[in-house]
Amino acid sequence: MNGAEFLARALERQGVDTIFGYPGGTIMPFYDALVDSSIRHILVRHEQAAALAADGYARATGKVGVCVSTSGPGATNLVTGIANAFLDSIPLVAITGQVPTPVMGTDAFQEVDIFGLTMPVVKHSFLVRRVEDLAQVVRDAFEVATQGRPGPVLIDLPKDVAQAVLDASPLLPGPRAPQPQPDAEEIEAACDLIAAAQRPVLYAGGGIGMAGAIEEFRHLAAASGIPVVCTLKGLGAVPTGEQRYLGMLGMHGNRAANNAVQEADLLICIGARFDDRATGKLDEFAPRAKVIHMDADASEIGKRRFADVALLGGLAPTLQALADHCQENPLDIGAWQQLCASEKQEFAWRYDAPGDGIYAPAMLRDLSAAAGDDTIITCDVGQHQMWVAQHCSFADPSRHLSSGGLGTMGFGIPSAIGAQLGNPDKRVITVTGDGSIMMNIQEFATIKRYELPVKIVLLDNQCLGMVRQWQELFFKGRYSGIDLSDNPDFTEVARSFGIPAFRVEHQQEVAAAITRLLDTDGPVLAHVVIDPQANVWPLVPPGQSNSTMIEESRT
Amino acid sequence: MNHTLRITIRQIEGAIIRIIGLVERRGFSIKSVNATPSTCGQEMAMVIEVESERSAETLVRQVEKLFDVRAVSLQIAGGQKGLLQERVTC
Repeated sequence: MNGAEFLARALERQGVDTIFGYPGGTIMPFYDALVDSSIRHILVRHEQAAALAADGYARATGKVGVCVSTSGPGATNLVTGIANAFLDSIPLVAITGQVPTPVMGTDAFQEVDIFGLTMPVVKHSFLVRRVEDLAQVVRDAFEVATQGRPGPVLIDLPKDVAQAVLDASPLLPGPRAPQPQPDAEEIEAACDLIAAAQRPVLYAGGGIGMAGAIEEFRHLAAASGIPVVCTLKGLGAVPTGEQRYLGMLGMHGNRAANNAVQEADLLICIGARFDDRATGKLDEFAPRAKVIHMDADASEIGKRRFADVALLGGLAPTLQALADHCQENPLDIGAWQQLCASEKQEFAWRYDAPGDGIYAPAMLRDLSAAAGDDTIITCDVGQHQMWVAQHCSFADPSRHLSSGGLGTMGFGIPSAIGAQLGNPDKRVITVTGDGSIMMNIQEFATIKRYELPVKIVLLDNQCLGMVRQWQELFFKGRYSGIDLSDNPDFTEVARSFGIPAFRVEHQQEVAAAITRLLDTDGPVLAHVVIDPQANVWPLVPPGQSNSTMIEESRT
Repeated sequence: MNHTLRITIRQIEGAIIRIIGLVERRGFSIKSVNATPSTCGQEMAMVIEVESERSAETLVRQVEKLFDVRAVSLQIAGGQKGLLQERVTC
């Protein structure tokens, strides 16, 4: 057996059944080994899509996503996807071929120092110089990717190491390291803060879903009756229709959610990191609140906001302990609950847009309602991403796949491919824009090749909408580099890849379009023409407090 | 504010640059670095003097997370100057 064959077996031993990749010179020994492997290889058409599809697969299944490429340009093309996984804490193992060790460091053909290039965007990385190290490297890579706060791991494999003979057996996955248990005194301190609070808020992040602590979080929310706000990645931590759920906080959050946080006297932050898009101006974020911060990652505690109580380690037992406490000691926060409920009603989304054009928020709300909240919705980055977050419903965070930290245009289509391959029986919709779709449009070929029934909703405003919006609001309407009015006819593009497509231009066509989209077997693209002037509201101007949300002026 | 980090790391390819890269990327300027191999050749002792207005405690926790890091300690160096040397014994 050689190193490459060993690697394929070691991946099988880790439970890997699907990998996303693109072959090339230095990774050829591994592709040769794949011929005899049970692993299903999904051929993408650009390595960035391999990394993003593996990311989407991981988000939608909870398993580790695996991607593979050759050295040099293959490896550099993975970098955006690796960074995407890093910023959103997604368990990913990226395998790159490398030039043979004797020529490493000589600027050999397709040589690039991917180990060095990716260092700031990986949780850890391995450069395998000795074939004997492979067993331990693979086991460590999967452990590091999944344990504690997840993240991407790179394995760089020189071609001569992949071809070297190895007499060894792959290691089984090691036992999961026990999560540190929450400190009893800190739990008590947290309970005291909760008991004393008049205006508590649960600030729910993506860590809840990744820690498998949804149920415990919902217990706490139900037992305490504390109003809930979610981050972009936390959406679905409670079902969108839940009574005490106020919406997303932050720059494009719901005013009721932001107001609750600004008025709170206790902020219970769970698996979130006080990201600048969530907090707005940090000094003025939740100015009167004490903070309980719960996270698997100790380095997030106190990074951006002082925590009065820090609860480290596994979220599930901590949340359960707090839920039990609240069950036994009911909170007396009726007035606060009423205030939040009335704000929720007052600032509920309005869908009564004037005119005959298609109002994207209303269409997304109707699409989500028709598809059901168990549907997986992935999206790209820009205005449509915020509309998805604001107007779609999610039964669980794994149903909403959005590039939060890195904000990667081009995430939508590949992540939908990964999500669909990981969940063949679930409905997967991707919502994209006329800017984002062009970043990975070549993956239409992957959708067609594997006959993935992904439903593509392309919201076309003929420009880079979010940039246009900021230029309008913050750069005196001096538009620069945003015009996409000469884009190709996307329905023709889709059809040329073998994907059926249709165009929707008027409000009256929306209901039929949604039905057609959802009733079509196999992949389909709906090209939806929307108003180029449409903006995402409300909006906290960059660098300002979340209490200064600006709204659309309705004249 | 000046701080001194004492870090024990695995002696393995990339470990030193990973730590130095992290320290600078997180907003700390490096005033001095020293790395000394352990007698057994398995580990290294690094002493890094840094300056930043940011929280050194947060930096310590970020360094602690690295796979190659075995131990980290922090001291507020004040006016201390020059390279600090330390040898790990195994």
